[in-house]
Amino acid sequence: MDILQNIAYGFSIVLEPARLLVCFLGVLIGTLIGVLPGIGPSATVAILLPVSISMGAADAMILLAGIYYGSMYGGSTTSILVNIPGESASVVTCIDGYQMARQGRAGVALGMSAFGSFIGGTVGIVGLMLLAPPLSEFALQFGPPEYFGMILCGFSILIYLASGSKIKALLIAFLGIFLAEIGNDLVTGEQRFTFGNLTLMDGIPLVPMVMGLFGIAEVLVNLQETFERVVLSSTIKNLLPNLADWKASLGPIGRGTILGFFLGLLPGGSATLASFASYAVEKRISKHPERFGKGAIEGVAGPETANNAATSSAFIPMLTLGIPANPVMALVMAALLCHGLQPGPLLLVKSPDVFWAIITSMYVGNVMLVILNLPLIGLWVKLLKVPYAVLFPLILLFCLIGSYSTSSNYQEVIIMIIFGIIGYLMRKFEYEPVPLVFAFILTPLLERAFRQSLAMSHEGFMIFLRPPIALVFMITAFVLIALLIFPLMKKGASKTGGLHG
Amino acid sequence: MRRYDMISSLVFLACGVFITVSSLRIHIGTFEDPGPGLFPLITGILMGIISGGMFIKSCLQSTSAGQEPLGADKRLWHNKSVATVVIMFLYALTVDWLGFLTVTLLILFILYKAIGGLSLKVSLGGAILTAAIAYILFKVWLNVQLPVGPLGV
Repeated sequence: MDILQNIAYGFSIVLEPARLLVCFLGVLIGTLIGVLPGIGPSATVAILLPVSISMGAADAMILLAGIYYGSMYGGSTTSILVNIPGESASVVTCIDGYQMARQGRAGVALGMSAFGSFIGGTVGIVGLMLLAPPLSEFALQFGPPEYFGMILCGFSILIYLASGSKIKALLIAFLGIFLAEIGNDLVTGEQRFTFGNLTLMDGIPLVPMVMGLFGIAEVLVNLQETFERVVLSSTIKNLLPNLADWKASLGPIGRGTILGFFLGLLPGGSATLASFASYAVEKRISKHPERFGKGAIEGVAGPETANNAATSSAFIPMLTLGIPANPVMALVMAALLCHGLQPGPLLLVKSPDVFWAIITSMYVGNVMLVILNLPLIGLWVKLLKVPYAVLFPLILLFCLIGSYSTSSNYQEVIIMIIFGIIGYLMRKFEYEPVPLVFAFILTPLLERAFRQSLAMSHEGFMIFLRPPIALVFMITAFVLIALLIFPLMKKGASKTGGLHG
Repeated sequence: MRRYDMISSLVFLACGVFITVSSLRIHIGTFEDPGPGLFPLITGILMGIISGGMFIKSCLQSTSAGQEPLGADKRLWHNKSVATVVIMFLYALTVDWLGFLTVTLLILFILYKAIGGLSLKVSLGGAILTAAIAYILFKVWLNVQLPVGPLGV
C-alpha cells in the first residue's frame, strides 16, 4: 500500500507539464547522443551537469536519468544501421543487428530492440521500486565501520570487474583517491597538496574534472578517427516483429532482464557488461550457436534488454547506499551532491520527492522512448549523416561554457583542459577513467568513515572486523583482492621461472 | 603496449613517492587519533608498491618478448588533438579579456575551418550561427554569468 501511495506521489510530481517536458528533453537528448557515434552518455551527463545545477533537484535528476536510459535506446540504431555502436553498451548489438539489416530485416531488429529495451527497462524500474526502500531502511543501521567496509567492498568489486588490466584499474583508483585528498582537510581544515592555490583549497572541482575526462578526452580521441558511415536506410520497413521473431526473442528478453538487473547492481557492472554477458549466455545455450553473428534475432533482443534492465537497477546502489555503480551514476550522484542532497539511506527520508520523481519519471520516459524510437526512426537515420566535423566544436563549446559557468573562474576551464589531456593519455595508455571518478567521489566518505571508526575504536583496526555487517563486507573485499592478486603473482612467478629456466 | 606500460608505471611510481613524501609533512597522528596525513600516506605507499610491481612486470615481459615498436597508428599525439588543446587553452586565457561572444566566434571558426576541414563559407556561417545560439541559450535564457568584453557582449 505504501508503495502504491509513493508511486502516486511520484506521478503527481512527474506528470506536471513542465516536468513532462524535462523528461521528454532528457530522453530526446539521450536518444540523440545514443544515435550519434562519438559522444556517449557519460560525456553528455558531464557536459549538462552545470545546466542541471541551475534547475530544481527533481528536474535535474529526471533530465539526467532520461539521458542515461535514453542513450541505451538510441545506441542500438547506429549499431544496427551503420555497424558503429552509438555507445559502448550497444557494441554487441552490431554483431547480429547489422547482419539482420544487411538481410533486409533492419526494421525487425530495430523494433525488437525497442520492445526489448522497453520490457527490460520497465521490469528494472519495478525491481528498483521494490528493492530500494527496504535496502535504504537496512542501510540506516550502518555506522562508520560498516560504511568503510561497504565502500572498500565496492572498490574491490569495481576493480575485479574492470574490463582491462586489473593493476591499471587499481592504480587509477589510487590516483582518484589522491585527487580527492587535495584541498582542505575535512576535520582539521589543514591544507593538503594545494601549493597555496585558492581554487585547489576547496578541492579539485568535480564538474570540470569529469567534463575533461569524458567530454574533452572523447573528442581528442575521436578527432584521430574517421567515421565511415554507410547507412542502410533503404531497408527500414516492418518495424513490428512477427510471431516467429517474438517466439525466438521471449527467452532472451526474460533472461536478459534478470541478468541485466543483477549485473547493473554491482559497482563496475555496467550496461555494457550486461549486454556482453547476455550475448554470451544466449550463444552458449542456443541449439544453433552457428546462427550467431549471421543475423540471429536473439543476439539483438537479449543484449538490448539486458543493457536497459542494468540501467534501471544501477540507480539502486546509488540512491540507497550512496555508491555509484558506473560513471554515469557517479555523475548523477555528483549532481545530487551539487543540489545539497546526500545520496544514501537518508535520501528517501529527507527528499522523497526527488527519490520517487526519479523512479516514476523512468516509467514515463520509457513510454516516451518507444514512441520516439519507432515512428521517428527515419529522423534518427537522417541525423546519422551529420558529420563529426560539425559535432565536435559544439561538444567542446558546451564543455568550455559548462566549466566556466559553475564559478565564473577561468582556472576551472584550465582544470578541465588538463583533465581532458589526462583522460586522453589514459585512453592511449589503456587506463579506464571509471575507477578514477568512482574513487574521487567516494574517497571523502571512505576517509571520513575510516577516521571516525579509528577515533571511536579502542582496539585499532579490529573495529572493522567486530560489527557483523562490516565483517561480511571486509571478508568479501579481501576475498576479491586475493582473487585479484594471486593469479597475477602466479603469472609473475611462472614468467620469472621461465626466464631462469 | 609494454613500453607504454613501463612509462605509465614509472609516472605512477613517481606519484606514489611524491604523495608519500608530501604526506609525511602533514600531521599523520596515531591510529586512535588519525591526522589528515594518514590517509594520503597509505595511498602513496600502496600506489608506489603497485606501480613498482607493474614496472617490474612490464620489464620482465619486455625482456622475454622483446620491445614492441610504436607504429605510426600508435602515435601518442595527433596534430588535430594538439591543435584543439592549444585552441582551448587560448579560449580559457582570453575569454575574460575579449568577452564570451567574440572569443567563441573566433574559436568556433578556427575549429570548423582548421580542425574540421569545412569550407570557408560553411565555417563562417556555422560559427556565427552556433555562437548566436549559445549566447541566446546560456546568457539570455539560462542567465549564465558569461564574461563581457570591450564590445559589451
